[in-house]
Amino acid sequence: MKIWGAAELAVDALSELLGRIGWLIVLYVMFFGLADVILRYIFNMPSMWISITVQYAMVILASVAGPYALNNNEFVKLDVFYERFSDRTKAIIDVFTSVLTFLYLYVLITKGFEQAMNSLGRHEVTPTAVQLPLYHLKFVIPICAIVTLLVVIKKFSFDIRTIIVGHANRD
Amino acid sequence: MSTVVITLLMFVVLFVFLFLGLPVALGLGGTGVLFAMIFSPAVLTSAPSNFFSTPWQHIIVTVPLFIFMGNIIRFSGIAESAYDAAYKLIGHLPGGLAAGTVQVCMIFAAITGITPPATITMGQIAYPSMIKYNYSQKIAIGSIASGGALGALIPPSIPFIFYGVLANESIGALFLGGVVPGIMLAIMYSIYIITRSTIQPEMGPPIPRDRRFSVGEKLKAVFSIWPFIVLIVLVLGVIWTGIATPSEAAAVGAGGALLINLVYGKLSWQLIKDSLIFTVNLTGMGLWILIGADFFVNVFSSLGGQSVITDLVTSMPGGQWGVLIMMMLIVLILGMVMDDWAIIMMTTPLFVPILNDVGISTLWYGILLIVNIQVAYLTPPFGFVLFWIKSILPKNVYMGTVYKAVLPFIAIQLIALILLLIFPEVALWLPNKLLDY
Amino acid sequence: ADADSNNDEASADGPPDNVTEWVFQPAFDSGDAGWDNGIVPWIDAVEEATEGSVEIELLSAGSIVSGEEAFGATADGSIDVYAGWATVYGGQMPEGYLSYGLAMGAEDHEEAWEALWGDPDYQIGEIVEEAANQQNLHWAGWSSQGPNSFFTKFPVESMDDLAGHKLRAGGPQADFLETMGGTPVSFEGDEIYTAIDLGTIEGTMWDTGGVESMKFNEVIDYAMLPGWNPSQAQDIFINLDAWDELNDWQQEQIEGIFEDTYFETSEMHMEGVDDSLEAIEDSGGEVIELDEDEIEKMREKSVEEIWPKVAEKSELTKEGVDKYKQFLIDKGKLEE
Ligand code: NA
Ligand code: NA
Repeated sequence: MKIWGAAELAVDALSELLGRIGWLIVLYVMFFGLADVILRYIFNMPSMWISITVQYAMVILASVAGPYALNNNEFVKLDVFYERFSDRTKAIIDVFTSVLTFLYLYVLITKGFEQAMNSLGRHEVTPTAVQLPLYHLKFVIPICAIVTLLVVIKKFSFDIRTIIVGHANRD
Repeated sequence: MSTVVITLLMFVVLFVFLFLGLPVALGLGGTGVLFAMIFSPAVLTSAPSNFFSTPWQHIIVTVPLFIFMGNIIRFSGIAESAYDAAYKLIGHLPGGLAAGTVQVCMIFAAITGITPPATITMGQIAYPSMIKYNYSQKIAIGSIASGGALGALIPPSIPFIFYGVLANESIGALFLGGVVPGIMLAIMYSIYIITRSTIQPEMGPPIPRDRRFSVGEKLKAVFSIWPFIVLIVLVLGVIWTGIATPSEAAAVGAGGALLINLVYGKLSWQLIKDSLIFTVNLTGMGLWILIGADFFVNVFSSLGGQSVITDLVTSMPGGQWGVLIMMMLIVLILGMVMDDWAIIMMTTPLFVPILNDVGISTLWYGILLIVNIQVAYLTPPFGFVLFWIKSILPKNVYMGTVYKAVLPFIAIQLIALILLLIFPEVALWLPNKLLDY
Repeated sequence: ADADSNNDEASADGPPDNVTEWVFQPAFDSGDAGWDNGIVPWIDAVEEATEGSVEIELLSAGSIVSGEEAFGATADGSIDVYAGWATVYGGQMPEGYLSYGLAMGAEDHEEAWEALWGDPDYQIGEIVEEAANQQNLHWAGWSSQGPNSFFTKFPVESMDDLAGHKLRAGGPQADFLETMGGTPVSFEGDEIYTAIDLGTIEGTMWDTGGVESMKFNEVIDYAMLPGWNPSQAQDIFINLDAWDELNDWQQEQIEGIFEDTYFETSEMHMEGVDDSLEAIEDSGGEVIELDEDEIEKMREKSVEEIWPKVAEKSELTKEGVDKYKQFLIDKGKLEE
């Protein structure tokens, strides 16, 4: 039980870390988005690198924010019927539906690494005036999918315990 | 198994899992993977690939930035005082605040060109205030959702641009064509809200007679709205004057919100931190749905979903009307399960040759399509406005409540759609007048 | 497909018994001129030449992967056939800029053909072919879309007129514009119309044939000819493994249509260019043709300042740029 508690804390810490990278990205896209407008409109010196780095940052944000939001129970559900079930029924259903989640993450991780390796092999860069390497970026996707998988396993273990105990001891 | 059965089964599996409580994003991705593995393994690569290509679209940056902006003004109390002021001004009307919210949402969504910003921003600001003045959840949610959906119809509008390029139709004419139907819908929503609240005052209670405010109090109220107005004028102003594009205006808005808070002396690290937490959570949720939806559509196409749609239209009897009604029905049904971008991209190349064959104006059809698209934003079970709204509401508001709240507004949208089908001139009058179209 | 069919003596002289099915996803969708005037005729030609032994399913950009990623997906084999421009895939295969067209390079599609394939002295096309092979691709189709140029609110009669003006430009367009003294702004396709209309920018660089479908004629007042890249071209690539699975006869048949489809589709595109220019004039705009002196100045500056930037992208690209330069010198268009 203790080891399990430590593992949970580690998953929480990992997703929190990704979330904080997300905080920085939000600030980045705000300040530099604003700077882009000011440089172009006031100084007549539009930047060729800001918009491409903002796109780049948004890919990272999408990847890191997913596990963070999932770990914080912020993923929207169509809880029209679900909300009426007991803890135990919810847990049993969750275990069943998580089959699809595992399938999705399995593909994101395996195909994601495959694509990142291919991109690395081609030394892929953006075709824009300012060329940014894309192969680092493509590794972010499967790595964040792995963290998401850890979050899902954590929730899965809650569900198993809820099924055994009969009620959830934490939301 | 035939293509029809497989594609139908794909939707059935998706909805069984979604209604069993699997998060929407994971349901979309998981169902896509399941069907791709069995029927079309080549398309599996697009699962991770959409994590690159979907957020790579420049307009996506508006999602975190408008969430952040809305949050900063919500936590600072500026929005609340603006709504308090609005209550003093128009609170004597039954449902007045909700009708006002529709107009603000419409202006906001209209100018930014896409729907999520208005929904996200106004949802955070308007909902708590309306609840505070004892408005029913239904009217509060419905007014925000329907007002936000108008963003697709009133120019500038990204959905119109997508359609115009694919259908080779004048974007200027499409923009003009959306104006009258958009305003018509906003008026219809407001009439509905005020009428309903007059008949059932508990939906949107007016200020009791003995608590009405004096002219002096009302004037004072106007002044406390200013930061809110400054922000809207700032975001809309930079777009209208051509200083910034809609996607850049989001950064201007977020920066402006920070500045206003600074002026008000309300800017604190705690405020920024809380807003960042909220923003990253919501962005993660929203983008994973968008990405999952794009992947789901990739799989749907690779299974031959497009030919299923074309066959449905071309097999329809009844000439022009038969074709047009079938197209509208298909867009409506797809709207229950797909997002706007996917519907436009998928159906337009299929429908335009058919429209030209039977002699239906692609301008008129384009306007009907976009009216229909904003129905899609609201129709259960799958609607982006629904997801965004749900995620900014308190945790004890369930999806069932949101569904019920938007139903009357969907009915109004459908009435408008039928009116436009019967009286094309409502849509075509302005482009005819100004462009000799 | 049967992997052994390549060495199968019996089928080497004609179509094999089995039909090869390919999935074709370009970097663009049916709204682009390259659809009807480029890839659709190419597909028809391939299916006809191979007597139905190759069947191609054409999907819009985004059907399997996004337009940006389709090149890589074709190299990896998730897609069998790809069409696009070096402005999209050049980050992975910069040699594509040679077939895309260099700044003030070939003056039309006929001259571009001469430089890449027609004249045995240059054969720059072989470089593109070799680079494609290194990417696990086979270069199977080429089509010129005519001039890529300036579409502006203000008249561009010489490069001096660009100073201080903000125009939307990406990749090599931005390099050209900056070199000529203008100010490039990076926007995506769907933002340009509104940005010009509202005055955020004063015009855009774009392929002439695409101006009408993007409706830019509604918001701009001037077009310039011959453009900065008078013969901008699009490529078609086939996954090399898929290509190798064909038998010799099929490969020969597909190689056999390369030149014909190049000229056929390039001429179709030129009609689209004329339509676009007409649409610009119909909506009150003006088409400005630069004089020879100005064109020569632009060419010299491009070769001197822009071409080296393209050349430094790879060894092969450098070889191609050098040959292109020699080609222009031999044509008498450039001083030694
Ligand atoms: Na709009
Ligand atoms: Na819907």
